[in-house]
Amino acid sequence: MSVKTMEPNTTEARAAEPKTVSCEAPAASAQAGKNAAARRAGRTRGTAIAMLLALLAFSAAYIFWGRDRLPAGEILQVLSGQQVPGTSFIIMDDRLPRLAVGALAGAGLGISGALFQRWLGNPLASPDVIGVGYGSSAAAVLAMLVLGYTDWRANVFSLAGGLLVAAVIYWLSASGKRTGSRLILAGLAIGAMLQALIQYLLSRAEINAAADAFRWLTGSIASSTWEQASILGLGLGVLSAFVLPLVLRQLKLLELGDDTAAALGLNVSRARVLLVFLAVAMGALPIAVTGPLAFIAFLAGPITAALTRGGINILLAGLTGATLVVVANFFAANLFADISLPVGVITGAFGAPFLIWVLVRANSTGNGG
Amino acid sequence: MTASPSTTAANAPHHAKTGDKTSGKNSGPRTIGGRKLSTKITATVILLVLLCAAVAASLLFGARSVSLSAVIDALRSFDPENGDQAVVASRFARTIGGLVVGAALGLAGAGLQGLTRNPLADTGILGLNAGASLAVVLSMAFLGATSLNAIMIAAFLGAAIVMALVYLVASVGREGATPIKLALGGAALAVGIGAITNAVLMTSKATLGQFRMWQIGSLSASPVETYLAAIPVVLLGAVIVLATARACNAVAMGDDTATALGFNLGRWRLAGSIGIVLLAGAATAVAGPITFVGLMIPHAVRLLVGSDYRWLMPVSVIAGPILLLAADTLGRVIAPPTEIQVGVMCALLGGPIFIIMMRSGMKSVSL
Amino acid sequence: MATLQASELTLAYDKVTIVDELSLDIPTGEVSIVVGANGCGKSTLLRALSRLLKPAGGKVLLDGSDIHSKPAKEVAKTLGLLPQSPNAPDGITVRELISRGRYPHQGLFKRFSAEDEAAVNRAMELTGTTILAERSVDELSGGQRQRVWIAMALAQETDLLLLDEPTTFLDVAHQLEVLDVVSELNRTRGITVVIVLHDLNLAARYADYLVALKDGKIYAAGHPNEVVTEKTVKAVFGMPSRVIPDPVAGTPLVLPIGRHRVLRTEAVLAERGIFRGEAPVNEPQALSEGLDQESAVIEAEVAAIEKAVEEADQNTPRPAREHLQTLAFSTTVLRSQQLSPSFRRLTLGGKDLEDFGTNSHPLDMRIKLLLPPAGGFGVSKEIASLRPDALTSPADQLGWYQRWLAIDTDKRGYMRTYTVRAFREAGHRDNLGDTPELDIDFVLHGEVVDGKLQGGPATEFGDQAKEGDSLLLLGPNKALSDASYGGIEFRPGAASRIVLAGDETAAPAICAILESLPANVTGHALIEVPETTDILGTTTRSGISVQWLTRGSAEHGSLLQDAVRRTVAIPAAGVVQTNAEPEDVDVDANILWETGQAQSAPFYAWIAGEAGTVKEIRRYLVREAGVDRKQVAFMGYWRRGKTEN
Repeated sequence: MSVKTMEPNTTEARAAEPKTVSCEAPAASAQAGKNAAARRAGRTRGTAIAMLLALLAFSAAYIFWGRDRLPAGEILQVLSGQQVPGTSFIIMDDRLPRLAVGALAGAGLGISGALFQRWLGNPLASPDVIGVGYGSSAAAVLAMLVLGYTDWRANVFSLAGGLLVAAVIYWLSASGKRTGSRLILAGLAIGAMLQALIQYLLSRAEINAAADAFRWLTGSIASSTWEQASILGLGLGVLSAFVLPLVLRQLKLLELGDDTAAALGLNVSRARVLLVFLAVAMGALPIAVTGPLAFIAFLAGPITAALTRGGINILLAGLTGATLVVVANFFAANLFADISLPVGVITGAFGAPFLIWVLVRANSTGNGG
Repeated sequence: MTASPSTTAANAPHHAKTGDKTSGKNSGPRTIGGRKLSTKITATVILLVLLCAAVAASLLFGARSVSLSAVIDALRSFDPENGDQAVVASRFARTIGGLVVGAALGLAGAGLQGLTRNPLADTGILGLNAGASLAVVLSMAFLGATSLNAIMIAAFLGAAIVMALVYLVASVGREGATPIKLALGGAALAVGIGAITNAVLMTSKATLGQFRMWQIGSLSASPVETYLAAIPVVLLGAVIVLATARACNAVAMGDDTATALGFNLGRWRLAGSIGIVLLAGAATAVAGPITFVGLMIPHAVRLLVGSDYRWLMPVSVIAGPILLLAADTLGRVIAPPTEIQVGVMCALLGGPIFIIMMRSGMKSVSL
Repeated sequence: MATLQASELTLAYDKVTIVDELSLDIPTGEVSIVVGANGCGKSTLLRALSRLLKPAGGKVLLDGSDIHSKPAKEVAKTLGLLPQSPNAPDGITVRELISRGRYPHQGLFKRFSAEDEAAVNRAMELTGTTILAERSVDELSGGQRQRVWIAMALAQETDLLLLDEPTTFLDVAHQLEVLDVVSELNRTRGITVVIVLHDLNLAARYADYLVALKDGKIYAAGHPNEVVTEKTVKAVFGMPSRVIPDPVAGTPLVLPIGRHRVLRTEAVLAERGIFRGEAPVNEPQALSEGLDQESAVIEAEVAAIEKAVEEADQNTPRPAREHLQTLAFSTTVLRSQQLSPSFRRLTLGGKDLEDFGTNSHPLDMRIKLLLPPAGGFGVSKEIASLRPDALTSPADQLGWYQRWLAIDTDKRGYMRTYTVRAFREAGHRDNLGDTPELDIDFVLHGEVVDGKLQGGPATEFGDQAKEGDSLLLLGPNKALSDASYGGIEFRPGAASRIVLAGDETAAPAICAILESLPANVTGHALIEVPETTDILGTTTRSGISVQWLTRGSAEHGSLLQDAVRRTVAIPAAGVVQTNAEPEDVDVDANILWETGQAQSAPFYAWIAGEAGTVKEIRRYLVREAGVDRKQVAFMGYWRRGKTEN
């Protein structure tokens, strides 16, 4: 459809146009528009279904066809609630909690990253890149290597560290205009400092403790328990139920730019604080439990955007994050015959090519900054 | 320097207004761009004096304090049996290291900032260190590399590949390689490369043990021969980078202007990149990845001698070692008997300074 | 309707004051446009007006109360803003984006209602974006995108809409598209609109109320016609310019003047006899001057003079009075006398006039007055060299009129032709002074605005001239002129029956002719004037009967035409042939100026005034009455509807 006929520039042109054209063109294009809208909704739905199927398929594959394959019958028995010695333990206390933690962590990270990316309008501005993730890591490493905590206290430290560092970065960047780009800069600087701190702590620690901390830093869901899963589920659930809806509503204005948002009656600074809090909390919770799973927060959003050929859908990004972790978990467990890698190694190694894809894609559409 | 206040005081009654003007000029950022030749020379001389002081401090101070005479004795006729003199010998090595690495990083930072017109350019932030690290880890884990030359070559390759990658990725799109695209692209690649590095390290505790010491960035790990071996490479890189000063001045006015002025930017960037990779690779290979030196030094020097790269680059060569030696000496005395490695010190000092520069609205640190 | 005011508003960023104690009432229901140079604080002002920026002092009053005391959401229901460069999230559709404008009307848990839906649809309809609804904002053109953003602000359904440079980065067609949409919204829905714009001409065209900011203060505010003046443009933008009426919209149009290019080009072209835009024949004329379209005539006269000069000694400088037939005389206004509402007589005198004269009593002695431009002027060297004592050579004088024409009217002023009603040498019994003096009757046409008459330069000069004002005039050099100088347009030859017809602009000439005509001439003089009071007393020794026609509410020229028809019977006396169609003259494009040569025919007609009327009378006289073309003079002094400039 030609643009010219749709938007006559002058009243004369409008008047001179035959009536049939001016009536039919909008009608036809409205029809086309509806089709486009329907297609878009269809793509979103399709992506969601595909993600869900992949999630289930790789979960099942992990449970049924993984290394140390167990008889399928026994597994089904276990799943239906019966006790089968050995198998019950492997399924109920290892594989299932691992999947649960992995999926929940992935969802949290995916939502966290997507919130940052949409707010800052930059697919590269995910929490792990701009330094927020290092806060969680540094605090956890501190707890493990200096204070000797290896239990839940390390997780609490990690969560608190993530929130604290995010608060510092936000405070450093929040004065005046251009909060977005200053936030990125401050995050980069703080991230570099925290990395140095982590390296220092690692270099000073005894080699076995350092290796443990290193393993945590790589991100692993191998030691997951139902307890962790439930804490994670509860935390993320509460945030999603009570804070997320409000933030999503405000995000719709924030991403139009501060001036527009303010002109529409939004209290921009309050909305920004709430958004940063939510995004960091939803990202720091999983990190506290599993360690930083490289690239999940970074990739979930852009992948959904590419699949739906639209903007980043926050909830879909959460689902994508969950799927990514579950898929990575399957490969981590089964890629090498003799060694089971931490899932973070897989997300990191496989994420790198995706990362370059995201960079190129972001830059070529002019959203790289 | 000392003379000028008294002169001002003496002339004060007659030149009250002039005095006001001068003080206003000194406090304002207005004069950052152009500086008088005398100012530049004064700044350079002061930096040279500071450098000597930093060298002396690096030799004198540490967890174990050594007298000046012992230092002089050790330098005259070295006696390995003498405890004091052994300490001096190790300090001598790291002082040489500080000079070489500091000069290399300072100049590499200036070159990177000049050629990419990016105030955030730093070997750490742009991911060069991460690339070098990965290459070093790979060479350690899979090729069993332990020799300095092997590590250095690996570091060169890693840094070069990442530099090319970051620049390529950032160049996609209409606006070309903007500062924030470079910074974010570099940071993102660093995260990815770090993950792969970690994955490799996971498989070998021995490599981790070797690597975690290298990775932290330290001047205490290598003997003096290592640093001396790096000198030719650093010299070569320095000559190349210094030669690009005029091109950097042109680039500062924008790529189009530089091209219009007759600079073949592709060629200059390629040459400059080789020089920068030589500098950064050599520094990283002998001292491990050190962040923020390459970022901060050019900014600080710019405040002193202005933004003419023909001054900025050589003076960065002087200023880099000052920072590195000061950080190293500080790391030695801050928590005796242990040391905080220079890489950590640089990051801990550099991060806040960077943020202060950003918050004070310094134009060169905004995006 | 919501009202918006700024009261002693001071705005500052980081202690740097941008806007200083500014007070402004935004006229409700109108389009207000804020213009100013870069950095004058116009965008800052808009941010403050829209609650984005907290003032350092003073207040912004929305509906009378401080905008910052109201909740953001409340303000957003009354006042919408389109920031300078809003960013659209990736992949968002037009409808989705516009829907976000409904935020202020939605509660925390209230879902998108039918009312919201209707508002969005209305906004899209008004901006013509309905057909774009499902497109992605990324893929729209700049103009479309801007309309979508306007639609978003409209979906807010506010009484006030503020736009910050909505046309930046748009090509000219899209700029108009955006402003047309906004302007239509204002007209159809009564929305009060405030726009920050940097295109002064577009601002003048679209604004009802124009605010010119300079250094954070209001320099001028009001209707564009009052605000956009050469003075304001100079003050606000620091740029010299010409301001002319926009030929399309009638609003002021600013033509910037660079420092070199324009003048230099004009000068170079003028030397080659090329004129851009303003060819000599179209020299700016006043609608009401009554003496329009004369340049060509002047030019013809000058050419004749120059031809004569050519034959003289070409290159030796000597006093102008020795070789130039036309001289420039410096005079001062001695008296000003209001003859009637439409006529004012100025008596001019001066020592220069000792060289003035024709050594005879021509019937219609025409001279040129140099009327000063608005800001006064310095005498150009072309004119100065025509002064009686000026040393100049004939060669120097060649083409002086062209050169003079090429000068900016701002500097050179205007040249108008007038009839000398009376010339009195020093010592004349009615001349009380010691220098010669002459009378000129000015026709005053125009509108009285604020107690001041506004019209063309001559009207304004005539109205405002005081005793002592100086005035330059070009006229015959007494030493070199004879009866053939003046009255060139009135050549009755041997005719004894004469018809003189014209409107008020021809009245002074007709009166002068009447006074000079000998007693043996009979005929009619028909003069159409606006009002009864404009009927002037005329004296004539001749047997001509003078008939004054008072126009009243009749159409210009209609009474005169009827009178001519009544006076000149068909066929007229001395008719040669009837039904000779005179060739058509497009009086809008060309000058209707036909003067017959001295004849032996007994009948002579002299018709002058508004060109359309003259043309009608000419058609009647030539075709229907069958008068010989050689027996008539038709002079279209001016053209109705053709404005000055």
